[in-house]
Amino acid sequence: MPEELKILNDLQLDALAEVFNLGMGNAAASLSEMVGEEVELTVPEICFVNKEDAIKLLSEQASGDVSSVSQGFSGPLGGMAMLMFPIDKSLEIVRLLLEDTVSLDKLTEFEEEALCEIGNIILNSGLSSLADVFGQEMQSTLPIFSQGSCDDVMNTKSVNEKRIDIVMFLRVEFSIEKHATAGHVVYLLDVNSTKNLTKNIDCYLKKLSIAV
Amino acid sequence: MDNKTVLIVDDSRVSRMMIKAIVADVCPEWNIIEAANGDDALAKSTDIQAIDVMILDFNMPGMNGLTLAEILKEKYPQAQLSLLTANIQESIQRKADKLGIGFVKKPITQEKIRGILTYA
Repeated sequence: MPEELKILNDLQLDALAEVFNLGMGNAAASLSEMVGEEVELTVPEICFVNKEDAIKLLSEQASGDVSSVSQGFSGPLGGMAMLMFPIDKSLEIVRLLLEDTVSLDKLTEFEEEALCEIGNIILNSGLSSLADVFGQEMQSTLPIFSQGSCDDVMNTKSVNEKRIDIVMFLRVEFSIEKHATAGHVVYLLDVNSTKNLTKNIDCYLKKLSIAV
Repeated sequence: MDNKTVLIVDDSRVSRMMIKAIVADVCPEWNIIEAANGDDALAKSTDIQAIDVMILDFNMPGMNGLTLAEILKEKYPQAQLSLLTANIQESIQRKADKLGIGFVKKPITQEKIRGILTYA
């Protein structure tokens, strides 16, 4: 088992999980609207690990190569948000999204852009929940698509340009039941974000009149 | 519905295709202008006298959808503008409200686009 970093206490971790529970609930509802199927969502589990351990964890869970959409973000927290789908399922997701718009023989041509749009919506749901709870605005970059092993997609140029300190490993699985497809979301936080994260969660708990 | 013009601005080709397909289905007589970003939208609307509906993404290369909306609103005060975005932060919604434009959360669905078009 990778070494879990103790960044937040139990109460802070619980509050953060609740924030993401809301964000990912919105994301699942959005994904369901997009693909026209029921989407099941696991309760988000959060842990903080270093990047190497995050790659190991993802590799174990993804069992093979992945299609990934990543988006840089800045504001009260900075870093990179990533959504990953098993590579052999991504075209199926695109088909569900575009079956009324694009003919089957042209689906591959639109795979990258369609997955970017799905990633954009899911990742922004999580980031928007964080921004709203922190009462601050977050900016995000345009989505970037990549494919390969978990190691490959977590070490692309755009990811490595960020000075990643720790990985907030948000394990949440989206299952599109009829198609046995699951995705993972991770947030890589830069060096300045750890303190800000603690500070912002404490402010949020105070607003709720919960003693930290 | 009458013959009107709709401007669709989104950097995602897939999103533009989906919106365009719904507009063509709901309002087949309408003229559709597509643009991939703010500059493209301004260039393509230069010679257009009247645009009735504008559907704008927020996060795009170059200027964002709110900045674009401010410019277009001045040029086309009668147009009905809506931000259609995945960036669903309350702060962005407040800015859209302040500007007097609609705010519609992605994903794109027939109901949402139909709702935007109905009021034009």
